[in-house]
Amino acid sequence: MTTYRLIFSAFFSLLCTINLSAQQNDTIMQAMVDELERNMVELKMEGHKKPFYISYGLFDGTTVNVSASLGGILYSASTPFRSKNVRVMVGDYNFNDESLNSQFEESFTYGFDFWSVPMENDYYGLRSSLWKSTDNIYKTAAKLYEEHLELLNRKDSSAKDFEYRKFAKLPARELTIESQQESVDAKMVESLLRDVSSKFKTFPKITESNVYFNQNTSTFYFTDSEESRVKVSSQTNVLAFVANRITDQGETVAVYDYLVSSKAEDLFNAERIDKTINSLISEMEKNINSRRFDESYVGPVLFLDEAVPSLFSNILYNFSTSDIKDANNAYLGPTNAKAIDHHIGSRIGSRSLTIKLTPRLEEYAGTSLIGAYHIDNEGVIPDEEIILLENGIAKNVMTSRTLTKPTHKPTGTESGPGVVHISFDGESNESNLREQLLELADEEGYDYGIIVRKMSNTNLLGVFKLNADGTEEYYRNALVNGFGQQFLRKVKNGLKEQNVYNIAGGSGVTSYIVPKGLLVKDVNIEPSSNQTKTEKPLVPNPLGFKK
Amino acid sequence: MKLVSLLTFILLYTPSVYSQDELLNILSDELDREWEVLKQAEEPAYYISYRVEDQYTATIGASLGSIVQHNDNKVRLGQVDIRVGDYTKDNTREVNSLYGFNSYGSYGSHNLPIDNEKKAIQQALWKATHDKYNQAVKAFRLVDSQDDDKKEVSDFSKEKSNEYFEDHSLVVPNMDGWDKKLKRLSSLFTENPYILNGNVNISSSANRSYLVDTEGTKVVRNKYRTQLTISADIVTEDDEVIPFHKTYNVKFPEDLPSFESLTDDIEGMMRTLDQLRVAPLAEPFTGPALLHPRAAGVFFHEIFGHRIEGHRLKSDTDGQTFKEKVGTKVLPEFVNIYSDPTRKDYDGKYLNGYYRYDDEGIASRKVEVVKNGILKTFLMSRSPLEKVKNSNGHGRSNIGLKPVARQSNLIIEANETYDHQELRSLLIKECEKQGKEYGYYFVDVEGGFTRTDRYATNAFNILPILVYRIYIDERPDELVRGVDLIGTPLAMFAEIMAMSNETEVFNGICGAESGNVPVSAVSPGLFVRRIETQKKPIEKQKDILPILERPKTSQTN
Repeated sequence: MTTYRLIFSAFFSLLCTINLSAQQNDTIMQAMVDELERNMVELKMEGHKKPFYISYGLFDGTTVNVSASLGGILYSASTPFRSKNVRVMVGDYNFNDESLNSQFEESFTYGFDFWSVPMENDYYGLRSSLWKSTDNIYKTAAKLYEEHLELLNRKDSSAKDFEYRKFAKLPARELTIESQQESVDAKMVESLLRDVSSKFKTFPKITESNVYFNQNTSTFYFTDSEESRVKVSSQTNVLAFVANRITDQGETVAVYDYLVSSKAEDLFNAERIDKTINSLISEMEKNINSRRFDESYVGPVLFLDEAVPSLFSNILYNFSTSDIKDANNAYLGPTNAKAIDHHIGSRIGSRSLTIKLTPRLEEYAGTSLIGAYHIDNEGVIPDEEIILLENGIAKNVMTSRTLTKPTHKPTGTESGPGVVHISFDGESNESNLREQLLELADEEGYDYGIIVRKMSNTNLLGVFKLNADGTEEYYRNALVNGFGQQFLRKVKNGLKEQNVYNIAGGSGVTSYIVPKGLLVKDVNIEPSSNQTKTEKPLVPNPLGFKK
Repeated sequence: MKLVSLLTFILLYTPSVYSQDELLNILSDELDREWEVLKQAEEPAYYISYRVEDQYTATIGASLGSIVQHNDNKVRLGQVDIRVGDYTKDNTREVNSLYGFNSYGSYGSHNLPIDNEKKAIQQALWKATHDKYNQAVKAFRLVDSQDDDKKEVSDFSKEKSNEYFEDHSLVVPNMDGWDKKLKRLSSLFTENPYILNGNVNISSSANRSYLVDTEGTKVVRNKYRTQLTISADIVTEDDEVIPFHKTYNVKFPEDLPSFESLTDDIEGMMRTLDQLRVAPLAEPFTGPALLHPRAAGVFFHEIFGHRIEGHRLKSDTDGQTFKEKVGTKVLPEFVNIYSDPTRKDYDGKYLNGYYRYDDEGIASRKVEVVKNGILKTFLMSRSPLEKVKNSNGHGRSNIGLKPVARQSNLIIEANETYDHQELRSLLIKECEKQGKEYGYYFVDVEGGFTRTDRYATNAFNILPILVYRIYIDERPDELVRGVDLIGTPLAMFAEIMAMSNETEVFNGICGAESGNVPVSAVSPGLFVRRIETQKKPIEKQKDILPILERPKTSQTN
């Protein structure tokens, strides 16, 4: 056990004594339930229908953000937050205010919630906040519904191409998952980050280095007029490292890495941190000593290790429902005929490739899957397994409660894919893939193939040229172009063996169980042009400076 | 009692020994290290400054009886200024380029470590200095490549360096008990079903500000500011939403009015809102008007104060209203105006625009701007004018922005005054003369804005929130809604006829190109022969009043 962990444990035991009472927590749910019931019974605007469905979702949590550089704290804050989602629908499950696109002048405020949520467990305050939002959204929904009815009457609803959205009816959901996780003390994290960030002091050529810690602890409360009662706690922790250096040529070389866990103390493992920092420094040195990628390449690429989940994070959004056709709405445009949603049952990918979601799976092969969740933002419990692609055949798309096709049913994935499980029935040996890479490259007229091991969010990468003699040469500043569902067809081969990754992105963490390697044909790699040059500093870096 | 609370909240207690301020030493050391090299570079820097602010801010917000915001924030921000060239012509000069104006003016700020961790702060400053030096060299090349007709005006004034060090103890605002007070105060608004929003917010900040430069200036100041804002919206019968607010500016939270006094103010505000709810909408009008001292303060800040900020007069894009008017009559001869950032209060009332040193390290001083209606000089930063070569301690900005000449405490005084009744009589007389049934009385304003550039109408807009009609006959004063006071500056100055013997302080935050700076305007009331009003933009929403009754207010309130 490391020093970090010991310190952490001591603070943690103190924190566990700070716990909200059950009664306080119930105040939130009670306020939501009472206000929802009142509105379902009493809310009605003259000349309009009452709501048929209301849901309240409320996130109650704390975000801890601490950043440090070279032993000094740059920023530290523990910020409580509360946000709510209110949905009020008028009409019925088959046809309602959300069924069509609207020209209604006030619809821009629809669903937009500008009434603050009280920070305290103040029963009447919470109800007041929900009351105002419900009233506001209902009035718009009621008017929209009238407008939609009018549109429906004007159109030939029996026409073949007449499409509208339906709302999926669900039975009541009851779910309570309360973990003991409390927010960490920001002061304690500051102390740890001072130590961690100080490690960069031993690398005097680095021009800037930062270490960031982010913890998001929240409880999701949900209730709706289908009598659902949900209360689910969760926590994610991210420790990120960023470093950059200005080379003698005035080029800035930046590297980053991060660790993700559901428990903060797991991140502050000295051995793991040292390994991550050393690996970053090696990557930086590798980049500085490498040549720039300066050619246009269209050919086979072997994606290995971390590059594999990054590849799929760019492709996965294609497995979403397509919206209704609405030729009258210039903003939405025509429905994308190529969308996977229109090709369910057809082959759209390699015969050996299978993609499924297992959003509720919390652990795989001894590794925690941080992206797992038990209920989505719409209060839908996802199935154990959602098969999107099976042996290359499109099987399903991620579907919300808003249904645009009769075959759709909600998949409970409104909070994101959660856990993505990709398998390829292929090779068990990486060297076979390397050989195939060279063969395919040769067919394309290249005397080398390309291997990618890591990609940034912007698809910027360093690439390895694999030469015919098996040697590898590293090049920096390349860019992968043209991600899309066509990649699924281009997967030529892959490894059976799998890795597990937790990838942090803008919408939270997604977990990936993926083949260790995938060989993809016809990938376009270009030199990156977004590299700015600066003058070499005239004044020496203070880190290595001695008077 | 006050003494006890202050002692309790002293964050850092160290002797006020100049050399014991660790951060100041770090800044000075890194500045020296950079200066040694950059002053001898192929394109040498002739001036470098480091400005750093430790900013501690606490905010609590309550809405209709519930706490909706409770934040504490502490950051340390740094800003580097480097000048390449010399005092007469440097990289900061405004010139045209293929890509628009030379953009060196956008200084930018960056986070520095909050801890006094020497290497960490040094490296952040070193990186920022490197970036800034490169920008300055590029900008100077562009400046140098252009002939320009302003060569007789220097870009940076030569000033005496200053050393000033305030006690190292920073008093963190004491917000204890304010959450309960705000809840109770904001819950008062729930009594009126037509009030949509009723918010009470308090924000208090403690800033320790450092400036070191290569001329030898070392200025370290502590700045405190607390603002409490009460705001509410009421819905009229014709679905118009009328906002109303009241703001209090003081140094520390404990200086704010008592809870009882705030309660009285809210109750008064609710009565006013009820009256406004049924008040008639006013039509555009031109004719005589009275301005209450608070409204007059904003009036002078907008239409006069922004036009005496020196740096503007240097810009070819500015209207330069007063540039050539020094020594001439610009206001009635009974009017005197001065700007005095050295004053902490006026007749015992707190002034928001007080400071000892400006953001360029220049000592603040009282500047007589208008004497007996004659314009004497301008408010100056270190950006000289042809006829005013030096700063008079008015270079101000938020960190991250270039300091420019800004107002501080703008104080308007009159050689001859009238009491309010006399001003009313003058107004009525003037109405009769102009054949008007009534004149206007602007009692309170929420603020205003003005344009000084020459590409749009050089006009101002004062935003009143409480306006009465004063009738020439026996009818009582009538509250109206929906009025904005508009006009153009020179025409308006000529219409000021008399001033009152009552003076009030308007404290506020002025936003302009160098950010938001705290200011005050102190003015007597005004009688103006002719003003113009236009209709205020209306916020209308159909069916905005909730259908169901508001759930009860929390019993704890």
